[in-house]
Amino acid sequence: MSPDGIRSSHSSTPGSGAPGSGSQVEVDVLAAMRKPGALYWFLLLVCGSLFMVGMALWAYQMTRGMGVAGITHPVGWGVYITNFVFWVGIAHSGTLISAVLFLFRAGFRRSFNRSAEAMTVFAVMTAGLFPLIHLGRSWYFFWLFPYPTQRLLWTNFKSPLMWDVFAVSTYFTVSAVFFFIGMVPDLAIVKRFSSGVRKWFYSALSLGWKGSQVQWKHYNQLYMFLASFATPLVVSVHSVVSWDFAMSIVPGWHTTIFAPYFVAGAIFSGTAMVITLVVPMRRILKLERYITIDHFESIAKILLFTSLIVTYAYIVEYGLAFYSGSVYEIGIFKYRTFGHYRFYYYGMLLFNALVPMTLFVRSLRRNLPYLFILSILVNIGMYLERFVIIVSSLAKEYSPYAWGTYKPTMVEVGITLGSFGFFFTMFLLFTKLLPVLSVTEIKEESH
Amino acid sequence: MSERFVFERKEEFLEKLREIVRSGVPEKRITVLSPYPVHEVDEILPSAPSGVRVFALLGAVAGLVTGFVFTIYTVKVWPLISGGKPLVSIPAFLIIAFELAILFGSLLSFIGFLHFSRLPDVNRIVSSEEFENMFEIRIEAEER
Amino acid sequence: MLLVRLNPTRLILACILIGALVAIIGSLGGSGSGGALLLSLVFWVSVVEGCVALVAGAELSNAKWILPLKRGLLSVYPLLLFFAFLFLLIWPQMDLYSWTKEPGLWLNKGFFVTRSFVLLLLAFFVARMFARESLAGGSKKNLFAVIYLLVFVTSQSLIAFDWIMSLEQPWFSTLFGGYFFVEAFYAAIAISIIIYIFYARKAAGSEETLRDAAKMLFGFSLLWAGLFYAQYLVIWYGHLPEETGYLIKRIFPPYAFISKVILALLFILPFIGLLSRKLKTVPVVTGVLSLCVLVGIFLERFLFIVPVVEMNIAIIVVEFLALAILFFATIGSEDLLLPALPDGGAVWRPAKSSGMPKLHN
Repeated sequence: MSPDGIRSSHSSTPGSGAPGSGSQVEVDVLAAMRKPGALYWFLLLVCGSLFMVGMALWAYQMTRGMGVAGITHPVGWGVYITNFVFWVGIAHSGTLISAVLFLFRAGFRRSFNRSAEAMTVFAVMTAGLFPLIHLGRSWYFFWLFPYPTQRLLWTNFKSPLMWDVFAVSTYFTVSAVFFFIGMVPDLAIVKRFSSGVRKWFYSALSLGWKGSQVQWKHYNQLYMFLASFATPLVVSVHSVVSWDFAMSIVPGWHTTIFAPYFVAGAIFSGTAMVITLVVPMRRILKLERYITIDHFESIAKILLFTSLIVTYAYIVEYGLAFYSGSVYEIGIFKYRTFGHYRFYYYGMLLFNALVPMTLFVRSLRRNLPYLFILSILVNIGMYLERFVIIVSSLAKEYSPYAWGTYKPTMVEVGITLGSFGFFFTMFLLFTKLLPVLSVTEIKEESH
Repeated sequence: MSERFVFERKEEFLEKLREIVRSGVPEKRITVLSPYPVHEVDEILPSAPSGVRVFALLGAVAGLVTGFVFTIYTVKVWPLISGGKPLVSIPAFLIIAFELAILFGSLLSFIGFLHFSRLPDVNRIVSSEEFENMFEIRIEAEER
Repeated sequence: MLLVRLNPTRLILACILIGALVAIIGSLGGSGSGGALLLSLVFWVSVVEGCVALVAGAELSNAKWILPLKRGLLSVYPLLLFFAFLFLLIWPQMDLYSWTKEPGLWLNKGFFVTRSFVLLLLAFFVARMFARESLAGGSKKNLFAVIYLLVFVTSQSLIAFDWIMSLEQPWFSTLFGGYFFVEAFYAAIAISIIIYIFYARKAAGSEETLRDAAKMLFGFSLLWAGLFYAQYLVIWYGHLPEETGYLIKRIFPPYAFISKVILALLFILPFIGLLSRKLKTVPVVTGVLSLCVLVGIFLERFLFIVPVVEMNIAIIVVEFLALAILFFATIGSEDLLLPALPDGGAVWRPAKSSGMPKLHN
């Protein structure tokens, strides 16, 4: 990004509040919020319909009962829980990019942070749907929350599922606040560019931000604190998700490395999703000037780094299963390698461990089409990983007389696709309703 | 009477600000508006560190305490052993306390921020004044 | 800080001397000497490998705060070669591992010693290549940094799994390897603060280096607590007899007190002490907390070994002091097996900055 390029094209005059006046950054970024073209409406239609189909299937499942889903004994956790873990994982890199990279003062974060934060909020919303879908009688969802009941019985705080309720709802709240607060100055800029009802809307949303030195002081302090709170939070959330499994004594689940392994995997898949979303977004919204190849290279390095941690966890898990000499541990890992779900297992190894190794090559890190394809493969790989972990261990837990296999039904597949529809619908709405880059931070950087 | 200076370039603005401060205008009468945080302004107009940190700390401590008190209280009022664990299981309750510490800490910091920076500012929301891409110095009239 | 100054010849002499000392203790000391040697190695190898790994990690992430401390951290790499040979002295003491009575494919005496020895040698050679390239500002420094980190992670993980975890067979914990290399980083950050305080304060110029290092120490105290908790919680919740035994031996009497001290030294004290922004730049506070961390890690590794292996406190103290002096003397001796500096970097040069005379040119 060339600082001169931005400054030389100043076109505004002091005091003028007419729409359209402003620096080049403002014009370029807010241009993305203009009236959408046909392609956008088409994509929105596709994603929205997908979401509607998912909702309809959920309604069908509620009326007909959980029998329409493939989950039954012994595999009681199927794709719904896989989806939950997958979407919570997707959320994680948003916080990583906005909070952790902020604390480490990494400059390239400002190309991705807004979209990544939006992604976090939407992904947590999507993830939050799945425990409800999985409940069956979804309308009793409030039983999950600790509230004083007539029977004076409280929720079981020793249950990892209860920890999940706290972790995920905290995560949603904090990341929504973080997302919003990072946007407040930008919303005030959007207000300047808009007119009519939209102006009122953005004016209210910007809280009447004026940018005085007092406001900036408290703003910076708040941002720093939110980043410091969000960093341990993001680690705790996926740790708690991993403990849904590790607290049991099911072979393949009960292992100490699960927390850091899941956290790394979450950041891995989330970073891949950021690439999947930002590569087309940059192209369609013409943001090439602000989101540069160098920035993609940096984020590709994060992808490589987290891939290596995940690979390390694969090796250690596998190695120690055989080191332990425990027949159950060895049994479950042999089952993963040679059993019913072996192709998923190979896919996960290929997409999560082997293919990302190519990012050691610098030219591939800087090749956007390659990164885009790789990021989709990684998402598939991480989905498979969660599926393999959840399903293969349950299919062969405890007594051999109770063993069985699991295959998702069309309802489950449809609801899964619906969740992707929901996520992409939300993201599409975001690109048109909110500034997709942090204008203020780009200005601060370029001066 | 109040005065207003508007600049397009940061350097000119800082120069003028330094000049105003040097000329002896009391700092509390000066308001600076900028499109992004300018660190030099903090040096020219030094002020006490932000009070948001107090809110953050209070929130985090309050969350931690609430988490433990709440979980321990609920197992005490209806002692029901579950999972073969002791009633008061600190390792398990720590997670609840930790999450609440983060939640309360973040929310209270946010509230602290709104409080200190006088937001939401209703007058400003309804006014036609804009958040400009300009640096502005306002000197308020002396109080009589 | 320390008056002992070394040049390459003296370093070799010192190593041979300490090696001979350990060997003599080993042959005379009888029971207890094996555990002491294992403890010394487990601690110091982590510290030394961690110091180089910290620089490698910082190099890859373009961290600026490390620059004034880089030379000090890298200068300890020659000790890895010494540790590789020191490790061989464990051969006569191998009966402290119960599995030597019925060796398996992975855990048998020959393979165990060979792979540890080879990995330590490999760590030394890669660390040497990386250290020289990094200080010379060469184009391959990132490549060597990556290779070194891979070797480092492998080496630390196997130290955890082989040297310590196998003492407790059949207990196993998949996190143990990761726990070890995070602790190695943690120790290295503590060392970097000590280097800042005693050697590089003037060269660093501003307090920002100390602030950043203190932030890192703070962050790692949380990370350490997280990893500790992740392992503890899974074992506590699972409540499987083959797993809880490991914890019970270490957190109940007679080791209840020491385990609480370790928790305080590695988490509570650094976390609370470094919460304040002001205290992060007070050298006394950060220095004491760094020492707390190093002592904490040493005590924790003592606690890993002591319930299973007979220990002799006197031998531990003697060996610890000898190695500590060697370690700090290596840091304090300029240009030890490292290339001369290119002019004008913000890199620490003790002879100039602290006014000490140069030993050789």
